[in-house]
Amino acid sequence: MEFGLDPSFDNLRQMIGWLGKDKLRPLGIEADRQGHALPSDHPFFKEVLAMGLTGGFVGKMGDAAPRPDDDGRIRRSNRRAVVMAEEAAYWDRGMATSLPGPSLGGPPVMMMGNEDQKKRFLGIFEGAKEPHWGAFAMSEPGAGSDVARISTRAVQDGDHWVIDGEKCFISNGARASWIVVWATIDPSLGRAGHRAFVVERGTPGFSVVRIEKKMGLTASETAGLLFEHCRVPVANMLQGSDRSKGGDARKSGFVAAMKTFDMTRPLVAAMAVGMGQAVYDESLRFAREHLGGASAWRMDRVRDRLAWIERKLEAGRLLAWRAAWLADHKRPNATEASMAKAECASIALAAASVGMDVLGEAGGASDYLIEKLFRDIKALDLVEGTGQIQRVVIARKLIGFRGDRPLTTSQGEANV
Amino acid sequence: MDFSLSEVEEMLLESAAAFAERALAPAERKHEKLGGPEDSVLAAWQECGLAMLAEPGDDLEVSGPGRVAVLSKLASADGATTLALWLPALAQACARQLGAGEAAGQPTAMLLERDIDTMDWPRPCLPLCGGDHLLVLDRAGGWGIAKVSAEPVLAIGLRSSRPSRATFVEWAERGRVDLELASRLRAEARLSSAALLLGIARASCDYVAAYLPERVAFGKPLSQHQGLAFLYAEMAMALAGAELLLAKAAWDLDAGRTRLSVAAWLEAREAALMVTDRGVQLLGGHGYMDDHPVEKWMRDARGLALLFGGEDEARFEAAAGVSI
Repeated sequence: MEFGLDPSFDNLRQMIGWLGKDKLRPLGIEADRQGHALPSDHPFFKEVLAMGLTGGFVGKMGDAAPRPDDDGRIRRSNRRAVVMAEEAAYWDRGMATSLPGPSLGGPPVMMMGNEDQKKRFLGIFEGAKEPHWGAFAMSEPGAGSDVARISTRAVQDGDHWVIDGEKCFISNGARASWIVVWATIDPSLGRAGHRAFVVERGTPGFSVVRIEKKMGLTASETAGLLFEHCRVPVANMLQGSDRSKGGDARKSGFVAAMKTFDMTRPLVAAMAVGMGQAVYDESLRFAREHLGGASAWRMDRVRDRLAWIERKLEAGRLLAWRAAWLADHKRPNATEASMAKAECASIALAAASVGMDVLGEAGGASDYLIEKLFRDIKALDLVEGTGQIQRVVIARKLIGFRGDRPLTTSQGEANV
Repeated sequence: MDFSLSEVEEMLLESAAAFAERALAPAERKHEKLGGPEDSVLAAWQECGLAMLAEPGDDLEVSGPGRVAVLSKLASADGATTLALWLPALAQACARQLGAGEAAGQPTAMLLERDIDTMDWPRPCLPLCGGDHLLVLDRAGGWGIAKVSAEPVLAIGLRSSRPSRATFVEWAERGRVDLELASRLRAEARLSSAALLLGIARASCDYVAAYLPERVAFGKPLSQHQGLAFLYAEMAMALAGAELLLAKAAWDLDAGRTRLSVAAWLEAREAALMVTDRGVQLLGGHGYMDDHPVEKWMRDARGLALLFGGEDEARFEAAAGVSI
């Protein structure tokens, strides 16, 4: 396993660094203070498009989605993606998530879409002058971690599917040009009945019912969506309608959704490391600027805390890189991706809490970035599978954990 | 050692519960947005007489364990607003015991410092509770009431206690007391803070306890998933231990022993940070939204754990008590 970084990464990382310092961080703070995300017509979004920074920039669709490159070459795109994700999140994770692009909606379209669908839905991002977003709608008010429990229904009616249901916590959902909506075509099939439909903005029956008020990550808009007799053309069903009657979970949308997470969880891990690094840098800066007169006891404790954060972040960073390296080598990485995601999210939150103690009273004030980082970081142990779900994945793979499921069922099926 | 509450204390606890249910819990988000309790709540607080508990040797003869139980009960409805109501009462009661004159002004907040002569100014984020006087008490018995200019600060939590940046203007009064009194008052402050921390944590723990059996995932209630049930059990264990330690520290303080108070604060801090984080975690994505109060409790606990000298000052004192 080699973790050497391609020199070409440096240019991109430098560009993100410049953008981050100049734009992502100040705009992220502005959004946090104002209590809402930047509007979709904010000039910043056109600026980043003009720079050619979108899509794969933060390691989403362009980097993480599988490409039909069966020529045997070893890809480095996942490693590049985690490095870029760390850098972008270092400056502002909420802003990084809000950048125009297909976002989490990209991987399912890449994996399950036919050529026409890829062209229709991903084509709008190529050379775009106006910002566009994609989105991914899985969670429901009654089905979060247990994605198999989604109740949004899709019923075929001639050359359309009719979708009814409610989705929640959808990043960029209110501004997306299209949303990959997960629904069941037959609840009796469980996960095997899941299918993905691309619902385009403006489709009758589709509405945005709320913008969530969150603890942090305000720069990233999170929406609640409602589908009422929403008629979606058959051509918008990913993986084609020819498989729509199947009952095999391995061929259904469920596994594709899980594979999306195998690719995005290392990115979330890297983002956590980036935010943890921001915690470290802010804490160190504060100590240098403000703690000159502190007692030897206090300084020793501050040094100890900083050394702890540094050690934990380094281990977490390597976990994220390992998961990405495996993906680049087309090896299974679900366990490693879950390990990286669970560990890095915990590390980053603990680092933020420890960092606040370095700052003391100042740590609680929004004048200092660490207060915002603490609130932002908490989300990372919740999104894309909670830390508890990651533990289920890890334990299932490593020691055959089955929970309370009957021992006679197939072990091959994901338990998430 | 007896932590059981007297009849009077039970009545006070009932009053606190009634006040919390009527005035604090329903207005928790409102008070956070307002930056302080509504006038009607302030009036009700004055009327209910619970502020008297801050006075030592009050006529009601309330024990230390009784006092922290009442504070925790209030804080379990809204820790931030309880701080806004309690802290001025505590600071003023301490100032009187230190011998401060009325002319020095009424402090509404309190700082525990290493050395009053070398302390840092300005203070970046303190719950000034709408006032502009601050009581400072150091390890050696040095004390002062500082007049400050206050500038509102958006803080991670405790927003209903009007967090402010406090810039030193002048000492309204300075003095020095013996170590025994200083230690006792510092211990009082730490026990109050611990009681608030544990009240907030109790709220989060109870909220989760009600949520876990209701929410179904993977075919059964969350409370039936071992991984989640154990997370909750650890919350309950840590909280129960910290609550008992707080009661014992309060019992000790009644008998003039101060040493355990700093341990009780550190234990309360650890338990509250862990419990309130898990309170969010166990609700999943819902916990991160303001539809549920757990995210506020996590912020409030994190903010409160930075005050009253913070972790380093407390650990120093705890370590100083270990003779090798």
